[in-house]
Amino acid sequence: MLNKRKITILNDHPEIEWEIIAPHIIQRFTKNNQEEIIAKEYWKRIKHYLTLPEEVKKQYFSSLMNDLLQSKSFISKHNKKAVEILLQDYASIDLDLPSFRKYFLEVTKNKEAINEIWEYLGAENIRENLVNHKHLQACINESSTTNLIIEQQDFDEIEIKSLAQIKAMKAFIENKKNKKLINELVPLSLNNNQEISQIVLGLIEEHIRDTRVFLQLIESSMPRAIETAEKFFKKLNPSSDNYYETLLSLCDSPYENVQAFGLELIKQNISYLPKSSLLRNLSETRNQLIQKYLANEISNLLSDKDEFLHFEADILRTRNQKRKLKELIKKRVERVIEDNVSSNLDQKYLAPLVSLTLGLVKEDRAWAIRNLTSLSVHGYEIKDLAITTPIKS
Amino acid sequence: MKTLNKYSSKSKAISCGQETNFLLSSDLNRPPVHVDAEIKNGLDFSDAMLALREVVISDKRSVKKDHSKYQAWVFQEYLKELNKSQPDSIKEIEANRKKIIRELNNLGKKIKNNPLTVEDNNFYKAQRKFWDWLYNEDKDLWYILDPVISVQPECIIFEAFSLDESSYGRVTLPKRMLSKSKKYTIGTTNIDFSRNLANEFSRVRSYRPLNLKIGQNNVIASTKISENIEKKIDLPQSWVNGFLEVQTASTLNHLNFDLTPDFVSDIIAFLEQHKNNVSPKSLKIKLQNNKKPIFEIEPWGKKLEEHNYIYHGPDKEIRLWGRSRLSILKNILKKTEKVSVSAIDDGMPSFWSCKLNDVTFDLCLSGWTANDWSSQLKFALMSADPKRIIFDNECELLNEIRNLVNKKIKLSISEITKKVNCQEKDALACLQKLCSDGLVMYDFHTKEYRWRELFNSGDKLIKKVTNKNLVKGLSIDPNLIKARITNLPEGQRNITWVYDKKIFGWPRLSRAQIILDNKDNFIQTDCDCFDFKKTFKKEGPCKHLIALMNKYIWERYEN
Repeated sequence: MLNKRKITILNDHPEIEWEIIAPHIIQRFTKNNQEEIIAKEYWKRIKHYLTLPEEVKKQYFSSLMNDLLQSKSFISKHNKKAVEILLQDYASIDLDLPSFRKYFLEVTKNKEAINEIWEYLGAENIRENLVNHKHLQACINESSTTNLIIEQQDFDEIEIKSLAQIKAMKAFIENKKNKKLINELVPLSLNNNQEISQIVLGLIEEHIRDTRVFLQLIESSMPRAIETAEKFFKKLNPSSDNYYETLLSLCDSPYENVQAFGLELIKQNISYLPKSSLLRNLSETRNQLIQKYLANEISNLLSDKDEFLHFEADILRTRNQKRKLKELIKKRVERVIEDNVSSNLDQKYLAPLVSLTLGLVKEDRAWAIRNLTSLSVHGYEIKDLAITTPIKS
Repeated sequence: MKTLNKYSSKSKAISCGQETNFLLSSDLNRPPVHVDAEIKNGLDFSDAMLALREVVISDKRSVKKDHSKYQAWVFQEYLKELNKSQPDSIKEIEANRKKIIRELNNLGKKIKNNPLTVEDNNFYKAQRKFWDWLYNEDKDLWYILDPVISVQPECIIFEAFSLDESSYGRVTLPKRMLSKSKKYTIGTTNIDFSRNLANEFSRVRSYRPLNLKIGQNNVIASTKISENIEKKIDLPQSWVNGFLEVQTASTLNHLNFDLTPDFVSDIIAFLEQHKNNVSPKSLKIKLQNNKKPIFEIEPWGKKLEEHNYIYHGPDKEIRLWGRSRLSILKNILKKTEKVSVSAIDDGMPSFWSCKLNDVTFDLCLSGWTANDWSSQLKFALMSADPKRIIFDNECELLNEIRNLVNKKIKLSISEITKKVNCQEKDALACLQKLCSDGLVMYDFHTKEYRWRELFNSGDKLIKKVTNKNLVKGLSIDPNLIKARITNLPEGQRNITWVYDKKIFGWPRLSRAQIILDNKDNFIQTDCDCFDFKKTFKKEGPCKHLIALMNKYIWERYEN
């Protein structure tokens, strides 16, 4: 460590430091593990060397950039500092373009360093910085380097904040588009930057036919993405093979707006769909709109009486919600009981009715007792139900 | 304790028309845990997992009202009144104050109208919008949501506590529910269980096969870029304490009865329909042998009789608090045949178990909402040799049992005692210690102890003794305690200590009493002191009972 006295001497005779001490400091800083305080001191000195007059740097520090930016241990351990050196003005002054490019490629082998560069490009004052830093500007304009930076980013979370980033991203998209690698760009369609997201949405609309991608778009909260996806789903041919599965995946989405959209498509194209299996599959939904649609549809359906038993039982067993739906189901169940009372009604119908007789809602109780009585009269064995009558035979 | 959970990637669900794949990313710092299989009847599993999520986000702590605006108004009113009776000098000060306030207001207006700060409002709006967005987008940034998964030889167990730590949820997925199993490596891990993933569970349907993949490499293979998502989790000691408490409470003597799901739905519906702002807010359960249980919802006195199931056991009336937590079960009740309840006593924990065909969902509720599972070692103190839990006392038997359970993965207490050749109570004490170290869990379904490492190997749990009574009780000199021990039938023992005012300043003779069974489990505890009468349910045994336990039970273990 340099004490105050030594620093005073060195300040008076800086060439001693430049010639004798500086090489040791640089070597130790790049190679060895020091304590944090010592590393901090070394770093201060190195930054000081970088700001020295050109003739001094030429004489004593001609290999400084090389020592730092060719050192893998330095880049991996101090990636932020490596990027800082590379992107500061002095790099532009001290280095010629081929050397800068060489170091740039070396630094961008490290993923964290790439992220740092991307962050730098997103800074508010990046435009002025680029004006000062001709080499960086030249590198950014090369598609190979921008691709290298952008490819390492996580497209689900990438932030595009500056014009420089937009420009780089546009070049990247153009490159992928030409190589027909549009699938890789899909996450960018949901990016915070409207310009980029718009471009990618346009490409998706034009080139992609995978319903999973559009499902992802419709489930996003971005109006433009939703609009694009809705357009795609509306355009699908209802008589195509996968149409039925596609509508089901829309209705099974966890998002209500998507479920409602799926239901709308079902209503529009019901004539093309296998109705009975569709209704059976929809019976597992938790969406109230779909449940209501289903209840309305099955109330007029004379299909197998126990086909929707689970659905109906589930609705009858809900408490404190879905009253209108429950009334619809009650009507249908009543009809099923009436129609099948003389034949064999599935015993499973009895459990929800018995449970309703003990429930808290008076109307439900009365309805259940009435139907159970009717069943009991027709010879069905109902546990705990006794019919008493004042009429004696 | 701070531990670093590192995931190879985000957990995700990939849905396509034909199937749904759940890729649960496990913690990279743990030994690898793998499951890769299709789940038969995935709908039941997804319903149970959604209920588990309800547990995780449940927070029934009352929010304190903000009175600051009211207090500010009161202060202003006070100043107005003061104004009328104050001397001239104070009036001068007041005039100055008003002048300064006026100046401040003017400056405030200038700042507000400054074009540089005009955007401030938008900033706060944007900030609010961001938090709202974050709440919907990634709720786990708001709170930690990482259930513990234990892949066991015959089942997979998912466990988690609620935000207020007063509810514990557990989903048990039997291995027989897995088909086309490609990989199955036993172990324990945390999963990165984000809100979006929970959302995906609501997409599961019976006509769409559900594939569950828990592991590290699987997820990397399915993503384009290899990424590490690190989540610094303040894995609280309270979680380990909570697990220990749940396990200990589950070993206590219970009153077991079954309820019809529709009956529980009725109770929940009634509670939802009535505003819960008058005390008592309990659920009074009247249990009579060979009769259906009767629930009374207080304070309305609404009595509901169970629809179907008859209770068999001793007559008892118990009251449970924190009943609103039962709403966690709301969505799975219609899928289950019956709800099995185990209750201990008034204001004590209760266990509610629902079977969704083969998948089991357990909800364990602490005595009441504000009484979390974990802040104090309430039940653990009443277990065999709690001193071993609190202080790190290693012994040969402990090591032997640790190695045995680690090797065999799951064992019943009788198997353990047979294999290590020791007494049951000694084995129980060691197992409690292992549970408290986060190494072993007690499975209250199978009554077995399972190897379940909660922490990365190498991490050590730092225990803090937070129970005041424990500290006070242990500071009482055992030589001052002279108790009478009476042997009762079936190996039970009654230990009674009469202490007087000369020792602790009590105004009269008081009595502390413990009745133990032959395994040193507590059957009854009682003390005349104020602390015990007032706070036993909340803070566990009082200092007198601790002192008594220390001398007559724990010291015996040490010797």
